Amino acid sequence: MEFQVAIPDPVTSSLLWALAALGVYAVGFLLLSFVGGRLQSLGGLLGTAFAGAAFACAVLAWIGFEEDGRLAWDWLQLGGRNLELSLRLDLQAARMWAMVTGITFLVHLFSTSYMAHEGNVGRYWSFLSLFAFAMGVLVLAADLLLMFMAWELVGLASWFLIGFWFRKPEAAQASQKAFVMNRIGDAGFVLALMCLFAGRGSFALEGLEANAMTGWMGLVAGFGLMAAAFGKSAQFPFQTWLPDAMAGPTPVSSLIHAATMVAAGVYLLFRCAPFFLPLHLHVLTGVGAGTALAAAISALSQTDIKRVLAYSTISQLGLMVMGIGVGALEFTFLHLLTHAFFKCGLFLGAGAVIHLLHETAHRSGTTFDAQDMRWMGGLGRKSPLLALCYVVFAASLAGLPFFSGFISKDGLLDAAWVWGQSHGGIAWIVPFAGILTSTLTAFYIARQAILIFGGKNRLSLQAGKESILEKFPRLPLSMGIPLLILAAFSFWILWSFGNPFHVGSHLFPNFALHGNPPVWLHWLLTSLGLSAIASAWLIYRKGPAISNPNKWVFQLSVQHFFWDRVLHAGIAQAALVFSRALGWFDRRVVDGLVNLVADLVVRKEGKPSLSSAAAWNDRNIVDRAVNAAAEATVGIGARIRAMQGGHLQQYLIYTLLAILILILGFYYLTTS
Amino acid sequence: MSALSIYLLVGAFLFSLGLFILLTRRNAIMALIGIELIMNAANLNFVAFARTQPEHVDGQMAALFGIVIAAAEVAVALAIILNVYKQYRTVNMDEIDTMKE
Repeated sequence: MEFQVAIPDPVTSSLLWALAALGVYAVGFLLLSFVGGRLQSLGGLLGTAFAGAAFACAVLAWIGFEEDGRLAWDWLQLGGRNLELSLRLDLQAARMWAMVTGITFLVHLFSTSYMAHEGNVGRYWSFLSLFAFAMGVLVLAADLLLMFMAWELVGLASWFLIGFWFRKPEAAQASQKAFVMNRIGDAGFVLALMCLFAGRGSFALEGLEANAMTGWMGLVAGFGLMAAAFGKSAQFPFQTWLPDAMAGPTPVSSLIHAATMVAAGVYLLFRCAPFFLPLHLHVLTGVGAGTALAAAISALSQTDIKRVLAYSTISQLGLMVMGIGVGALEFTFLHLLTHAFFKCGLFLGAGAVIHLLHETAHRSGTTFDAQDMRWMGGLGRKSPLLALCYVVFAASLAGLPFFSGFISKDGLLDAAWVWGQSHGGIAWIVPFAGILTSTLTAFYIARQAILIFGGKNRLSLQAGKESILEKFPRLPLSMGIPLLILAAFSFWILWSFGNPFHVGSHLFPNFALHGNPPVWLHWLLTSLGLSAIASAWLIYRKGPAISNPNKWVFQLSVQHFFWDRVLHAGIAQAALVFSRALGWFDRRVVDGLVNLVADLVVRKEGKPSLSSAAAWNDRNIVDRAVNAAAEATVGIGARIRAMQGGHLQQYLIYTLLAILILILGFYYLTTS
Repeated sequence: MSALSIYLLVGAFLFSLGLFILLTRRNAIMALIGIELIMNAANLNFVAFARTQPEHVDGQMAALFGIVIAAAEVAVALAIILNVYKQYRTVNMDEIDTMKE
């Protein structure tokens, strides 16, 4: 993979197709924003049509890709430096953009059923388009300034969509939390931008290498970019917003987790990878591996169907961040793409389950929590297609052979192993954390699939009514088709033509791993994964295991190591204390000073003060001067006014005098 | 002193008299009479100069025109004075000072 391109690239037809996809989203966003509210269900079809058109454009851009295309325009001049905004389509961007538009299209299609009974969906469709548009600009941006703008736009769109049900307090709070958490990371982005501009005078991604900047500025810029990526990609310490963001509609979660939001952070790291110094890379590796393991542990014990997937995403993103850190850029990018498909599938599958259970509750006149896996089970017999797709996605996430996840995840762990080998000592923690994460992943996703689809149904235990599941509806076509397509993408076929164990298709040529990972590592990973699945089957086939929720180990997992509470106590409370201190300072010191000045200035009960002195000055000097001027004017005016008395004869005298003066003047001039 | 100077002196006297009347009388009709005197002073001058150049008739013609214009002027001025009297019930020019506004 080549990152440094010195020659300016031409505007290629591929780039134009990619821009056309952007334009379609922009038009869709504007159109749906203005008329979407009035269109009702037609808005969904329109949005889906736009998404489909954009997908077609992006696919054309990808298929027809021959060479890098670049488009730049001057934006403004700052301190003698020209700031330009530029878009660039290279092979990675083309693939990424095709993936993003594809996922967006499938999510649109899925949403037409999922959001069918929602009121006020106009803004849902318009913000989906905005989300994809912002992500497209981010993917195509060739400089960090434009990328930052798109980055913020992505954050804004996510805020709108997570808080779509803003009347639900937890949805409103989740969207705020996501926004604020991201904002903290974005402060790092701004810092990095400032350092880059000061140090390099340019925001261009091209030529952004480790030696592009030296000294502390390079160090700060790298950490700033990392903070931004950790915020968006939900890595330690920002990861807690992602499970909360489950309060949004499930297709939105799917979009966020697969294509648009969290992918942006990894994509930024991927783009800026050559810039990072060894210290940065070590931090990336450590944080990535740590987050991956911690999130996998948390996913083990969740009961909410979507929270399992949320922690799973954090965990997988952790693996990707680790991959950047150990230098496996190709596999990180591959995992970003494969993960997008099977994670989108998992979320859409979960969304379908929730949707169908809601329908069931509606039809049978009962109420139950449609997201709690403890009350599910046995759905596989009701909807075999859904169960089959879900198992395919789960197998891909678990990284079993013949699935797409195997290729990318094992590639990442290979790279981690090689990295551990070359560094030695404490660095071995990283590959082992990766292996453990991989095993736990197989376990929790098997647990989830078994709890939802396997065994007997347990709904009657909660709703207190027998045979509720007889009202279980059929899977709508607009949900089944996206699931089937995504399932097809979860096999190895597309990613590695022919050989299911090696990357090397026409789509992803020339993948090279530096170093020699042992072959038995794959055997180990596969057997560990399979045994984890088997143990999950043994534990959960009879329903949820009786676990003691009071055990601290269990709580550690469920509450994600209390990290949310730590943040709350450590940062939110600290901020409150700090604000109280500032409030005290404001009241006592600032207000005191202001009051003192006021006392000095304002006259109180005849006491001499600045204002009384000013008043005397006003009355005796300024007013007098003004009045004198006014009186002088009036006096002169009155005198001159007398000339204009309206008396004819006076006018005649003036005329006469004027004529006399003229005659005398002429006389004087002609004789002298 | 030539004959011309005598005529011119008489004309100047008439002009001064007319101007004096014009400027001092309060009655509009008296002012009109002053104007008549001034015009006749001018006519007298025309005729006096015409005598010094007998081969030309321009001076006489101008004097004749002056007489006609004076007649017309009197007609117009008297009509104005009549209307002013109708409007203000006076021909005292000191009381008619609305022009100042």
